[in-house]
Amino acid sequence: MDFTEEQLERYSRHIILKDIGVEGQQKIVRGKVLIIGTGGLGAPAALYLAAAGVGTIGLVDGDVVELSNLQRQVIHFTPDVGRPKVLSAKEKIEKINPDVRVLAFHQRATADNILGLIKDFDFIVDGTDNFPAKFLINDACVMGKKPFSHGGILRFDGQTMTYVPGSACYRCIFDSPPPKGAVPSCSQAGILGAVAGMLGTIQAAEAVKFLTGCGELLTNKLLIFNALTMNFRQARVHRAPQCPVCGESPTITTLVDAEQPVCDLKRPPG
Amino acid sequence: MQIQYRLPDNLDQEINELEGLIAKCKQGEMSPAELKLHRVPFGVYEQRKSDTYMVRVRCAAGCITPEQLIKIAELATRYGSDKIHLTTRQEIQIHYVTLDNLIPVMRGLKETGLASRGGGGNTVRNIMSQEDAGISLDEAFDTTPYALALTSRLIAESDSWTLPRKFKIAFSGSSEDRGYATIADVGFITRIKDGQKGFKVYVAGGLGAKSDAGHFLLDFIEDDQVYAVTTAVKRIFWKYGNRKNKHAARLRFLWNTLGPEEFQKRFDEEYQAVKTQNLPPLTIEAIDNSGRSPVLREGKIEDQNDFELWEKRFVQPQKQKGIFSIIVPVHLGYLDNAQAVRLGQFLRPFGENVLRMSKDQNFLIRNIPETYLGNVYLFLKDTLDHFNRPLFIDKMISCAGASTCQLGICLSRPAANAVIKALSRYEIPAKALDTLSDIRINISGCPNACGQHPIAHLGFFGKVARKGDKVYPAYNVVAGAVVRDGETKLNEKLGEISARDIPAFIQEALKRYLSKSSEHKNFEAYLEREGKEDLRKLCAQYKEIPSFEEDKNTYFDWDSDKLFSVADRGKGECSAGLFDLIDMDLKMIEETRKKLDAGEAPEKKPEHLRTIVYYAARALLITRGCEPKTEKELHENFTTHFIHTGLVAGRFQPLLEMARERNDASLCARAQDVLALADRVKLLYEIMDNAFQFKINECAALPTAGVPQHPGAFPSREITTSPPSLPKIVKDFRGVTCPMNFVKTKMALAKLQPRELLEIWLDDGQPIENVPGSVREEGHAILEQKKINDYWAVVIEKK
Repeated sequence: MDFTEEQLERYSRHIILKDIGVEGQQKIVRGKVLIIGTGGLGAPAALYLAAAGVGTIGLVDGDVVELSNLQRQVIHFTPDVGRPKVLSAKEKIEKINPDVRVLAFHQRATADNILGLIKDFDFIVDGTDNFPAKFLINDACVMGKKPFSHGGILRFDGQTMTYVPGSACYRCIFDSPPPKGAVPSCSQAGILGAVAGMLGTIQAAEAVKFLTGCGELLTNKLLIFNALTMNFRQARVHRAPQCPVCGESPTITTLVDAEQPVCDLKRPPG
Repeated sequence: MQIQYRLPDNLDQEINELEGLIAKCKQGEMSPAELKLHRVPFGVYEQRKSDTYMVRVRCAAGCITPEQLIKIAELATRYGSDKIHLTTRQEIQIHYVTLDNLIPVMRGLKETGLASRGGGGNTVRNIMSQEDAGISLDEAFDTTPYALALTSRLIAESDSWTLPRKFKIAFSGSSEDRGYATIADVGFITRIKDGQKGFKVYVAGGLGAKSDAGHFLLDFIEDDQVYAVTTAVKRIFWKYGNRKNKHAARLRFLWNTLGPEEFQKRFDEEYQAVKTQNLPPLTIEAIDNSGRSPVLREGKIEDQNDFELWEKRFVQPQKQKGIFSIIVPVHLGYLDNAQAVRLGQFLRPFGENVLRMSKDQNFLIRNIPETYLGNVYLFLKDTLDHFNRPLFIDKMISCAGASTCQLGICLSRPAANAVIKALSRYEIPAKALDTLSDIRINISGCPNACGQHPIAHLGFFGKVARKGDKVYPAYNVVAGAVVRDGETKLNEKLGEISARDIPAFIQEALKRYLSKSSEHKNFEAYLEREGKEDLRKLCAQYKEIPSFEEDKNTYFDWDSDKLFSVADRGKGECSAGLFDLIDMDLKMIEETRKKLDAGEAPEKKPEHLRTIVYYAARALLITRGCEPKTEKELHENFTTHFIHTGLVAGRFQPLLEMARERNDASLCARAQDVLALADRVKLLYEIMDNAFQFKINECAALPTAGVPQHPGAFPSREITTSPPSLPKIVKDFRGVTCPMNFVKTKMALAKLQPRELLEIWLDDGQPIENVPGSVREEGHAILEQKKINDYWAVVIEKK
């Protein structure tokens, strides 16, 4: 496959990199990445993956853009308030890089549809904002043998890990979602917008690394950082033999939707 | 025979074996290098003149009989040159023997009870003893029998020939250490304790490129323990010595590696083990030094004053009453064969025990009754060219130097000759010179100390120096050594002077001392108190040398009609002389860099950068045998030897031209690269081994070890110089700017199979400065890089 002059120029700073080069860029261009959640994490991830030239980007989100999103969800602009997030994002991606094919799914990822959604993608980015969705994505990716990047943010903290079939999965570390109300959601606790950008960008980098095969993924490692201290650390994690989804005798064999805690600000009380 | 060591029983067999090997070598069945492994331990060294060899004859304790001297001189006449040579280790050398004649020489030596076995290589070398042992007034007892008996025992042991490096043993009869026991691998100094004869023992001393005084090992051993102690040290050396690196193999390196405690511990273990073996002690037979009174033809002394002066200069009373010893000055250790034969014939009537060789390369006649001194005087007057000069002149030592030695840098012997010539003009009156006979002036042609400069009162060792683009022969000046039991120390460097200035310098130094000699006990005391400072100042006075245009003499070594050059030297230990030069260039770089960093006088920045480029390009060229005359030649040589070989990245090449063309703006723009180039050269120097090879693997690994990393500065692998085939694809990237030219290069490379070739055309300037380096960084090889008009053609081999 040959790059056009324009593509050569567009991707030149990737091609120059010894670890990516022509071959790596070709892999990126052929790559397909699904981003579930087009919010704080999905927005920067989608922007970078689009700029990098990922051939197909899938977007899954059932929400519309709200004014409070704009503080961190940088792919959406003020005029987009009220529009479905996936459409707003698709438009930006195509402006950044017309080479990218964008598949927009204006729906929530659920137990019913998720296996179908992830089926045709090489890599999944978890950009969701709640525990049930994160566990759902994990379980679906383990069952569907799809690599994915987990990401979670709260206040000034971020955490991320990468799963590839065979490595420790999210449930190996966190057995099941915390009880409702035990962990505050973003809307209750707040989030520094840049933290979302930092983590989403890390996830994008993991996706590109996965596609090109360069470097070392965050598999069996949980990266945790705090933006107040700017301490980054990696915790080594291990695959749990008793893991309910990827362990020796799994107890979760079908996908179910756990109760979705609602984001307080989004839905008026009552 | 009283003063002879016992030849090993298998000597005949060993000589026969060597004969077989030489025959094999001549028939081409064995390489000269392989033969070398066998001939060197036989005391046979190749000389500078091709296919000529030097044979070094073992003379334990410096003993030689008149008969043996005659025989050696005859062998030299028949198979070697017209002179024999006395060494600083009390041996005799026969020079210029051809390969065919080596075996006849060895068989001839054997007939007279001598052998060259162990004259070289990693063996037990000649065992020394002070030349006046057995006759001196201050000794506790005669050490000669010990040196002889120890020799007989050790040379019969096969492990004496397979040591990690040479092994030198010496005996002294008193704390004056005239046998140099305190600078030997094993040194014995006589002592009497409660009426028991014995020795104090020093170990692990020695002279060489890295000299060291011996270390105290044992305060007292009974005299029957000499063999056991020697064997224990020898076994430690044999077991633990460094056989890998011959430059760090001598016992002193083992001492330094192990440390005093561990060395002592291992010695004690080995010594105990030797003791339990109950090896028989050495058989010590006292040597008769009484002197004979033969019937000689009478002579008549015409100049009584001259005779008395001679007596004063050369004649010493022995401890044996009425018996005398006489120094026979031998001009820098070289004696005509005919003179040697005559000396042997003259001495024959006085018996066998009548002659020793001294460590200052002279003869010492002994056991002459007083009534015969006149005969000796007349004989010497009749036989020698200079028999009655101030002793000072003939005590001077010089090594063979670059005239015959493969390792030499400077022509030390001609330099010493020049000094002698100058002194013989008696600008300093002979009478004054006569007061200086305790002074040791030693000259080595290189840092290897064969001329014993580290223990000289005033010493010199050869080096290469440089003024402008020209190299000239020079000497480091060292002084202040002491050799004495408990006080031995090596001298220190005071400065350097050109070879040309040596005679003037020495005379000037002596004059200064003479003007103050009344205030000091001797020269040694003078040096200690103020002499070193005087000499330092004197060195400074000789610092300036004329430019080549002003006076070419400085650029020629003594007695040489060829402009001084080091291009044909190198391999071998004396490369240390070249390291001096490289160090100087690197120092210049450092100093210039400091000026740059200081940021003073910004208008001087281009000049500083040019200076750095100049020295960086020049520093290592000398190791490639290049002495470029012009800057252009310098740059061409650098390109050939360092850039084209991949040792230095191609992106640095344009810097040379920028500096040469005074393209200051471009050079300043690439100031970082100039520094990177300097770093690269420094790095190469650090990883260069003694054979001037660069360990590329280490080189690739080094950047992480604190050396600043500059992309493209490190060759990713060795490159072949001739492309295996023509480039399959040629891409014209002229007009393509950075980094797109590199991107396109990568694109083109992506379509090739490994080992296929790609030729790209790049613009001058940034493209050629950057792209090849980046390509090399990716692991591909740059096979060729040449300028065509205003652009560059670069041939790349895909990895």
